[in-house]
Amino acid sequence: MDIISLIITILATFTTFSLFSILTGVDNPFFALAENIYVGGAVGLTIVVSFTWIVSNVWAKISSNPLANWPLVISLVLGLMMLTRIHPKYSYLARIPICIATGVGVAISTRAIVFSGLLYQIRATIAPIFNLSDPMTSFTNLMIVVFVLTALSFFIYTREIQGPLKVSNKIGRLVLFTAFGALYAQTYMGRVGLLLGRMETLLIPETSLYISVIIVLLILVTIIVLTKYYPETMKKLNP
Amino acid sequence: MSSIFKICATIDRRVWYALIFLLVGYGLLRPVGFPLIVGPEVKQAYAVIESLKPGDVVLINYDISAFGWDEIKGSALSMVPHIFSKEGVKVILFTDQDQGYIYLETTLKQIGSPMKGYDKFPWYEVQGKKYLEDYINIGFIPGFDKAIAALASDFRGVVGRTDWYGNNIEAWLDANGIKSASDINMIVTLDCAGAQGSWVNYWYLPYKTRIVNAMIGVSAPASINSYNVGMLEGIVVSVRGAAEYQYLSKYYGTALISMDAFSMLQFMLIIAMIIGNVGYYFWERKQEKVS
Repeated sequence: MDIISLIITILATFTTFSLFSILTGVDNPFFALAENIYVGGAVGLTIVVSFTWIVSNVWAKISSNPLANWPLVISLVLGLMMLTRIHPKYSYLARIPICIATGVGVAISTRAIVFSGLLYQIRATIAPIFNLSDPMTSFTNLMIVVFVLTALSFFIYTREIQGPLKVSNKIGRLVLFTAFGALYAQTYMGRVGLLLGRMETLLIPETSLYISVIIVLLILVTIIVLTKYYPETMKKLNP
Repeated sequence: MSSIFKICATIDRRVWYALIFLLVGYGLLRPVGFPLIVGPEVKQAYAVIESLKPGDVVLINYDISAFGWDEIKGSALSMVPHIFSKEGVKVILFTDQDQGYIYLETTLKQIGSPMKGYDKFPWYEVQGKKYLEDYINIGFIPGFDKAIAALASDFRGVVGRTDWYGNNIEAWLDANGIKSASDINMIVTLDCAGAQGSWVNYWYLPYKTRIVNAMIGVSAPASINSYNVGMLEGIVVSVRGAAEYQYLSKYYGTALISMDAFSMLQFMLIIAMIIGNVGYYFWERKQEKVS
């Protein structure tokens, strides 16, 4: 591992475990520092990358032939109008590009969502439920149809829930709870996946493992010492 | 007996956190080798990429930011080399995230090597594919869904004349017959922010472009839905999917190793749920009734 990689590894490990330090249940300066570094770094990168893109693409096209690229001139002016938000007197001007961006976004997505969010979903629900050669698929398709109908019946609010509708409503409620459970499990899996991926970077190879152990001990000992023996200093260090 | 239930109900959450770190560390450093079953979705994703023919053009989207890289890297480091290994296939690399180019270059650095006579990006050779001969990197285009929609409606206009590094790519695009979005045969999107929805809306619906999607776990429900409906041809979900893909493609990586730690954490969660519920029903609930 060369010196640059080593410094990067140490910084990355320190930032990660500083963020994890909030799990100790104590507000500490490590967490505050890492949090601010992350936010500052991300915003800085966004500004630099976006500005570079505007200069190398938008500005380059406008300066080469402003008449042919007149739509880009309008886009650039609208983009600059967004920046007026920082001045209370002219902040109203920022509403214009925001309105246009919202309008364009809604317009381009509405047509597509009708298909992907509605028609294709309905088409997928209309599946063959009588297929003797493949009983398992038939059963799955039947379950999809039954669960979609019962879940939909749960959202009927315009009439009193009684009789067969009550049974369907109850099944629909259970179906929804099952779906929420599956979604929660999926989210848990995702979070564990994130943790695993990060821990893998922090523990493999061996050099990273030693760096991680040293940094964890350093952070934990500092937090314990500051909390137990120097609570005033801890308070001052916390922003 | 009630003291045991009390302990179950009042375990300090920091004990669980410490256990998680210990289990993950142990699982990663001392893998046990639990069996791994490859799911049909990953098999399908592998088969779709395997079906690429010479002359096909694949656009790989890096919808990746710092927060998700560690989870999606298993998929990136196995799917991207698999695509690059397909003979005669041309590749366009793209990112809809401002941080994406960092991870795009990280991937190329890990799976490739500098071309002869060069020592920096973009001049990297990956699986025998050379830059500006077999693949290009158009880099970051801001706007996320609007950028994806704009690429679909005016591909050449949005991409422009140069790549991410300022090299002229017009000749490369002309030589490979890429004039519009309909000339792209497949999209492979590696998602941290759920870009698959936009690819489906603006590429699949109008052009029926084939889409394969790898994503982090929290983006999975939407992708699974799109896959079940048939709008995505294959999906690779989180580290688990990445491990399965690594197993199939033989591009072995750390996602496979982390599966043991993953399984251990799943067991721990089940045990934690049982302990927590036992404590709640036999001690905490009784305390609530008494008070």
